[in-house]
Amino acid sequence: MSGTICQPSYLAVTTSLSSSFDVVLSPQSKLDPKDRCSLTLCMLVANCNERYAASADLHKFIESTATVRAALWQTSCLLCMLYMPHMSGVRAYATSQKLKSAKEVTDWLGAETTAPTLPLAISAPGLKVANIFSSVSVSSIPNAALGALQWLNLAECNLTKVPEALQQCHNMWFLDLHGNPISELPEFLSPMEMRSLRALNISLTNIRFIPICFAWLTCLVAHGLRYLTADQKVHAQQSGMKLLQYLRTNCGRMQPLRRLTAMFLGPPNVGKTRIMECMMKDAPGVLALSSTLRKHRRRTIFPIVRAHTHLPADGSLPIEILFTDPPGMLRISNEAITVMVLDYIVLKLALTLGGSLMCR
Amino acid sequence: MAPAVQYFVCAENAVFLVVINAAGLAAAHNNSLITGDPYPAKRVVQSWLSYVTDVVTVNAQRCRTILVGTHRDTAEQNKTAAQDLACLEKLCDELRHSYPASSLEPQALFVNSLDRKESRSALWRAVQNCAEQILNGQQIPIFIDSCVQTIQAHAADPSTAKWCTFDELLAMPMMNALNRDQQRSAYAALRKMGYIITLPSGIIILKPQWFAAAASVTLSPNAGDNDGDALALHISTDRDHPGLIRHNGLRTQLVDMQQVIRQHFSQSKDAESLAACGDPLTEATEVNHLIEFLRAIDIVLADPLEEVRNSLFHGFACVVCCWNACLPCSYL
Repeated sequence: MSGTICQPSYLAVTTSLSSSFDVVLSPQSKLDPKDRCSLTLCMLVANCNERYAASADLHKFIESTATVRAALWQTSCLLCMLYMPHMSGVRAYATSQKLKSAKEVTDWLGAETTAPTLPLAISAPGLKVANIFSSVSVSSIPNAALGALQWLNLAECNLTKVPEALQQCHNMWFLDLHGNPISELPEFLSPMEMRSLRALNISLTNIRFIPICFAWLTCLVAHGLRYLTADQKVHAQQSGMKLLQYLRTNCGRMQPLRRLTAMFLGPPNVGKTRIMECMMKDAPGVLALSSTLRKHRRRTIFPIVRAHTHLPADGSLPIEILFTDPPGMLRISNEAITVMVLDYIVLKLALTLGGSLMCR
Repeated sequence: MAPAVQYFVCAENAVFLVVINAAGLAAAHNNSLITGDPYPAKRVVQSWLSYVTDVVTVNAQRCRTILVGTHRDTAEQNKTAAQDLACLEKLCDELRHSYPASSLEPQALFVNSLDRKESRSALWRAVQNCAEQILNGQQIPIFIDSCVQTIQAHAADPSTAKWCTFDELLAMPMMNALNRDQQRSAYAALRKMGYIITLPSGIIILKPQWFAAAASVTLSPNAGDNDGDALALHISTDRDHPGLIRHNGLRTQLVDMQQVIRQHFSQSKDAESLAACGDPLTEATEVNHLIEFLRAIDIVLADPLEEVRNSLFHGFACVVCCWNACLPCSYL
């Protein structure tokens, strides 16, 4: 194997067998034309199997790319690892399919090390595009020199929070986080802090609230956000642009949320309503004659829905609570009731193809 | 849980308080070790946590759950408070790992629900702690908060409308001043937070307390052994066909019930939302609508055969089937 290994400016990683190479490599087109001409590619295909390695797509890609350095690498058992400067790489690729072990690959390549690990690869200085798609092994990105990174795809990488290392990506204008179980967007990611960031994809994440500072993004993709607050969700379901527009109209008109619901659950006659009444009453003063409620109370027969403002003793902001206290469940003495009713329920179900309330 | 009540539980940012009678819990636990069956309180808590898990998962809700044992005074009288508390904490610890989605708080409370001093402050401490965890960092547009305040004031005023259509909601002063996007957001937030209920027919219930009470009355079974001095309010159905009642019969009984409620519950807050205005004509119209709403959420089911007959012979009263069956009996 001839040719020196220079630092890659493009990194593509995938573990998804079904992902098309067009998807993995599409960010190339997002780069400046002058960057694209001198592009050096480093492609890591993790966890690939023989079927994937031999796929026509890959072959076609390698043939059509003038300057490519690709590393096909498998974490569990190394299938093949290729460095392909120019067209000689195609032949090397064809040869590699006969290789069996990591050692053989290493020997064949004449390299001293095995495949680069992801953190090492992504921390390569000068890396501009990193397309790490569906890489389940990525749990964090090291604090490395990421200043040159412009385009980063961390989709479906099983991230539970946005890596703090991204704070260093001062030139990043695109970030794709879709499919990660992230529940909140850190402030450092906002366009106020990361001034170059223009586009953000947070679809299919667990994000619950999009801070108003993200209103100044140029593009936001935010579909399938199940946990998003109701007021933002209605717009996110339409489009990301609609959501951005909504965020912009509310700019400077937000306040901390201090409302919640409290619901009592439990069997009858355990004191649910009594607890609610006790909580809603003021604390007895020093001179109060009695600090207990009356013992006997009629059983609650109606669900009680009542609002209450709680003033915390520590002086923090008041909390508005909507109490819901449904009556406990009761056994029905008249067994005969159910027999005919169930017939009707079955019939009704058949007619309406299932009522959502009927069965729990 | 009664089917009607399920309409009132799906809300955002919820704290669930699962309440059980914890007096004698240790003894019940020891008995269960002999028999090998889980003790009733454990079964009850398991059922509710399972229910909370379902609600939270389906509605993508943020929640916290607190296990509350009551009747501490009884346990203290019986000198079992320490053992019962230990058993309650053990139960809590065991179940919080079994039902992670319910976010059960690690600390269970053992309270005397009549005590306005220590128990009250312990309960508020726990709820406030949960509230801070849930609400931490969350923000809400000011206009939505204003809408919530307005709708709360609306619900508290007995002279205002109990329901409306979507267009009527948008025409309300609180919504009128907002742009289209804000209106949609406010409507979605009010729904999710539980301040209004939207029926499948599109009707918006502006007073959930009233609707919950009305649905509950329609479903109430006959008086039971544990009812104490509670007034039993229930709909009498056809003696020969239990569970069936004619439309007119249901309407008459609901109208009559309003009068009974006014008479017996004049001092009680439980029923204040159910009491309609004094005008009998308005009451009859209101009850007619109510029956339609209850049909919309399948609290009452129209007899399908009768519906076919009605479509052939217009003007016949519809027979409705009052679904008195309370599924949660088997649920628990």
